[in-house]
Amino acid sequence: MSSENANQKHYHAFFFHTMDQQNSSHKLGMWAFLAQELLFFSGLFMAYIAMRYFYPDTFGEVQTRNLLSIPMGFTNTIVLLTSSLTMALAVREAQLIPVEENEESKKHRKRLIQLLVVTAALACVFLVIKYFEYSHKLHVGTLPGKFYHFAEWPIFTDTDGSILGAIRPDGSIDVTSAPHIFFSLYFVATGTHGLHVVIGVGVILWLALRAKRGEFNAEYHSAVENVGLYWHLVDLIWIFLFPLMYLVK
Amino acid sequence: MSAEATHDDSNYLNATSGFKSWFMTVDHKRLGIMYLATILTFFLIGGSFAMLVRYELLDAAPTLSASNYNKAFTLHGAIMVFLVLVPAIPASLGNFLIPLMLGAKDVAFPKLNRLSFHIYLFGALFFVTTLVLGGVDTGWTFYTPYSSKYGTNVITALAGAFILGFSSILTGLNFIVTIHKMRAPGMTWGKIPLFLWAMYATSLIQVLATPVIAVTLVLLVVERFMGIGIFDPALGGDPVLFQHFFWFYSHPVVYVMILPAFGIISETITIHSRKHIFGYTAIAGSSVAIAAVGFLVWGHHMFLSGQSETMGAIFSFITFGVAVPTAIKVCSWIATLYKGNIRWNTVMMYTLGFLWIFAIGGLTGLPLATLSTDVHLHDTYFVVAHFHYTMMGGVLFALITGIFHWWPKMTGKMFSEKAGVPVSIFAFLSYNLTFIPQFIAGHRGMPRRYHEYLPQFEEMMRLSSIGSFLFGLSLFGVLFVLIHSLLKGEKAPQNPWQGLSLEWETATPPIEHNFEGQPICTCGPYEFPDIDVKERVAAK
Amino acid sequence: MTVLYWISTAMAQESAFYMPKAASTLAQDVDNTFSFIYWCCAVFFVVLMGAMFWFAVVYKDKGPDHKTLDLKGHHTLELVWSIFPTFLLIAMFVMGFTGYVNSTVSPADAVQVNIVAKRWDWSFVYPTLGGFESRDLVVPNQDAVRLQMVSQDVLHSFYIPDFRIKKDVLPNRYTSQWFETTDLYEAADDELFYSPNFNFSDAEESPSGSKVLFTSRGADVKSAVATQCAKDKEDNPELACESNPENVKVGLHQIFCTEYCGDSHSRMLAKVVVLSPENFELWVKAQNNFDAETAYAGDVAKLGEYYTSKGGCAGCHSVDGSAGTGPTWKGLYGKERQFADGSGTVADDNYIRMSVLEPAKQVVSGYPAAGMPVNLHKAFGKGKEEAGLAAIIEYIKTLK
Repeated sequence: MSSENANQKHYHAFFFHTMDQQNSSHKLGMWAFLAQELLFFSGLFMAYIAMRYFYPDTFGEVQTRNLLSIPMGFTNTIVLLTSSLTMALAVREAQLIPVEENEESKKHRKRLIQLLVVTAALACVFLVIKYFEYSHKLHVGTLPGKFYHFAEWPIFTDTDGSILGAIRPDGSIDVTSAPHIFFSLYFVATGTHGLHVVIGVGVILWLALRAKRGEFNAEYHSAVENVGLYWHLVDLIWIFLFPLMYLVK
Repeated sequence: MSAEATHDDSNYLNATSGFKSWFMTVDHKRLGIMYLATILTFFLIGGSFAMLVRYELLDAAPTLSASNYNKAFTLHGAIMVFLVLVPAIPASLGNFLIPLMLGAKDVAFPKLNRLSFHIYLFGALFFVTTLVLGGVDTGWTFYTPYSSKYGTNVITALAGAFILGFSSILTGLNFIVTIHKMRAPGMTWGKIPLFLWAMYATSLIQVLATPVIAVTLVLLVVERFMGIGIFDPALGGDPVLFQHFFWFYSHPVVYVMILPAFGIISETITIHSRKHIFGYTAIAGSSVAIAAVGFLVWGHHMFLSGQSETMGAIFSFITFGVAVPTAIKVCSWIATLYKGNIRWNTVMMYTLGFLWIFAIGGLTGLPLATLSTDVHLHDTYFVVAHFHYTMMGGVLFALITGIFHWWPKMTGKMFSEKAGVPVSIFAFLSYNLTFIPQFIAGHRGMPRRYHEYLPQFEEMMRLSSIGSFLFGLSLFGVLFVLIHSLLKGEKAPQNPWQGLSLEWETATPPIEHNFEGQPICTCGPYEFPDIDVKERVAAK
Repeated sequence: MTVLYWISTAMAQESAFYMPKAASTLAQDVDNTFSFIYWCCAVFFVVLMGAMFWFAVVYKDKGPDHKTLDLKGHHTLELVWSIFPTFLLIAMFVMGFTGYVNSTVSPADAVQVNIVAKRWDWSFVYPTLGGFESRDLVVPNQDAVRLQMVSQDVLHSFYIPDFRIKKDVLPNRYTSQWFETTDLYEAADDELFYSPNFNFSDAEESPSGSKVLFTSRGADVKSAVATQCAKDKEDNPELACESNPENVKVGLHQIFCTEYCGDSHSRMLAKVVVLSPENFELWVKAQNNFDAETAYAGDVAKLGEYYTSKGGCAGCHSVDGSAGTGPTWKGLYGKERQFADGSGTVADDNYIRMSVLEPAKQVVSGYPAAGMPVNLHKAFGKGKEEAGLAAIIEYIKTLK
């Protein structure tokens, strides 16, 4: 009883009357946070749509020239989807931890920690694959904006720094072609997404640490649920990014 | 319940002391006070730049160098918008009052609240750095390609605005959850004070619009730094795209500024005329309507930008749409005064001043919403006067109204009405003197952001500058009244204005955790006419 | 509503103290719309504020025992003040929309003028009338003129208050607007029209004491017309045109840049010069026949002055010693120059040549490192760069 009270004092904040009120508040807070995350990425999607409208051929040509590795992107998609699954399972485990300390609680807690670690590990796999993709691009020169210097699809930079377009094989300038802009979008969008993955890894590992300390049980596990929600959004955004960047002609 | 609460004289101000207990507090009341102090400090800095601008514009011939003038007006705008107006009411009065009005012991996420404040300070630091490094001169609107190609210290300023955006988002998030989940028993949505409806609508905008400016600023920083080619036409981008991105946030943000102001006026006009608000549902509903429709009108800043006529027509039409709920509010407030018992005190003076100022601000939006007349007025001083009437006059007068109205609750002291009322009249008159000549100058054709203007505008500009100096003085007058109250003010009674909302039910100033027990909401907050407050309190 | 409209139309005929003269066909319609809007606003404002002050006075605090009216709302009243203004707003929208659409579609036979904006001056090119360039927007009276505008650097905005027209000028595509003047508004004596000091020959210092903004009343346009008329009269003495510049009637209107574009944004001015259609034809003829070398033969310094006017140098460099974005040219020749990297030189012919052809190479300390455009020598015309440079050097020598 006293350990229950001690735990309760630990995770039940004084300004909430009931755990119910606290949990539902936490959930609403996370949904509001996700709404603003969605709007942030919507801005990037809008930039994509606008630039696609101005330079439709460029986007198609990126696919024809195979400048983005579809196998790698596809693998990353599978990796993230799986990590969403393990995250959802982790939330389930947290829900099953009884409040009193017993065999069952130890079992579910162990599984919770394992699933969280696996999720974080999968996220790291995602990041490693991304690292390979980025370093390849750094190597060949398909970089954003004025750093673009891909020899096989060159762009023309004027003396005052302005970029007029891609250079055709015959030496003339094609002002409707702008690969440097495509890669700008690619790096900004996947980079921002990648940043969210990195933050996610940190938060998930922190959750694992808190789980190890015995902080979660059936009554209080809103942190796990809400980080789960965040993770699903990160996954969802990738599901949109992948086809828009890698697959669309 | 409430009359006995102060028996040990401990309240949120003196419960704990020391720098750390304030700087690291999670108490929404202390955070509100600190926000207020910081915001007023930045108001002073932004205002100094305004004085510099108006000093330059006393004469047609230039005094400052062009580059210094351009920095002055940019910093004035950027500081006022990002550091002052956006958090002005939500972060200070909103933070202080929302849990109290709801009957809660704090907001839903007090630690997040503290984080909001620290992020605000961090973002403000970037702006101060920009100042120290020599200022930024792109105009607060950062239009490309000027801001992606020229301009000074642009990245520092953008970073500052980006960081401040997070403070705004987290505050909005906090308030949404608090208002949804932490209402006292018996307090249905139809019984919450209108200030809370206003804050709720504001918070929705903060959460949904601010991320868009965040991504815009990120893209602009990357554009400037890496030449990504989204906004800079020399690199293949489109400058009008930047304007779309920018105004998609920056129009809703003006509703973030003004909706809380509307909320304050709903509170003060009822308490100080002892009347139920006229049209509660209309005012509550119109707050949410303005928030929603406000997302759809951003193109009215861009009628002349080269966007298509069809888009112009759509935006113009919807802009008129957002005028209707606003008109409903103004009419409802004035109807509230009918057959009331109107106190002629400082708070009411500022309230009435607000109504006059906002009426002018709102009505002068009409020729700007109208396409053919906007062609003549766009980017002239008419626009400057219009947005100062709505944003600055509206928000500032409402903020001052709110500060005076809840001053006893926040500090436990009363202020001098003998000084407060004349200062309010002085502020009101000098404010109008500052900005009405600007309408005329703009109509005659004087463009904005002009360092050196043509002699035919000198008369109006000089009047405006003199007005602005007087207005600055009047604001020091307000400060004087407040400081005098802190030093020599009478101790405030628990409910000096005989209000009925829950913040008046608790101790003045409130105890650390707001309420001893759980207050229960038994009546609406505006039932003045049929409930005598003395009777009600005595019956407890 | 019709009464309101009629009143506002009547009011709009006079120029109000808050409105410049209505000098274009569009302006009249716009002013009518203004009047309608302001009448509506005035009525609402008076009613609302009147009610507010009246209530505040009549229902002033009568003590704590005075019972107030328990009124939570009034449906009819709320409907009235929601619906009635909506009709007025719709009317405003319709007036604004129709006026706006009229202003975007120019008549098919309009005279086309291409406008090039750059930091910080305007130049006007007449592509269909000979391709010549002008420093003023010279237009024929009561004839439609279509402006096709583009910027060479950042956003600008082209605004003529008297015509009620304005449009942003973009660097990546053309924007356009049009107007037609209603009359030849001859300026009153105290009306002044400003542009940066390009037209040195007829420039007068501004009354405000500004050393950079100079006024002119189109004297060079007048003299171009008169000279052409005199020339034509040599071949055809019967011609009914004005060969005395004093008698050439011009209408003058101010042009502003209204999109912030940097340091000299407030100096990016120009003027409209309206000529009768006959005089306009003479002027076009004069522009097409104008050859700088012939016109200024024997006075190389004057030729240099002409080239600096074409290049828009006055946007940054003053000739009278006043400060600007770039160093003043007064007393420049022969003076010591200190550069940002510590080195120095004397401002001689070579220095001036380098400053025009490679402006970023050596920047005088205290001035912005990047800013002077790199291709100003295009103002000289193909094949004339050397002659042009020499002329400019001679001109600068005369500025002691």
